Amino acid sequence: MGRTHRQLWVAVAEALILSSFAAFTRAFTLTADGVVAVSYVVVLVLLVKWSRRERLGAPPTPAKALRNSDGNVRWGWIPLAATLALITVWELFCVASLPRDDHPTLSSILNSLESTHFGRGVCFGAWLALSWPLVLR
Amino acid sequence: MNWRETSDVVWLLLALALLGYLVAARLIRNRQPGLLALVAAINSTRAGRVVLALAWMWLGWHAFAR
Repeated sequence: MGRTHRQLWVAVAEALILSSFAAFTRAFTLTADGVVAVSYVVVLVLLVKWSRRERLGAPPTPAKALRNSDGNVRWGWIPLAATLALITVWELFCVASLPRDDHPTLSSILNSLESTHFGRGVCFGAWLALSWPLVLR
Repeated sequence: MNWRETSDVVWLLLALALLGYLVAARLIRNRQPGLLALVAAINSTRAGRVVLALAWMWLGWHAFAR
């Protein structure tokens, strides 16, 4: 099994354990604070450990994400930036508008998704999955 | 159409736009960078990594703890 495969299985196992536990917590409780704090520690430990291992090997190549294989700037960023900007503008409009039932924000949408144990567990798993590109670069 | 329905439609359209972009990015990789490429670009510097880590930590705290 390659190193990346091992890392993936370690991360999946940890994410499943933490998400299962998080599914049965409620916001504004000590247990919810605890499971988020444990997740911080796990991800930060993996980040430091795996980054150090990477430094011992070949140095990371600089990101070429903004350029294509010819070295030209990829203008395909513009639609992504525009979409993210529109999401931000609409979120700010909803935050400034009341009542919340008429103007749901991303947080209130997330709260309704988290209203069941299963939904909360899935959302927590998705949050942990977001750390994957950060940890494994 | 009331405000609630308008909001739901706008959120749905924005989600579809983002999803459409991500699908297009998968199909035409060389010209259309995806979200992962954006994260990789930010993640390639130490400062960028710190910003991403803090953003990820804030999201978890906001969504699941407080």
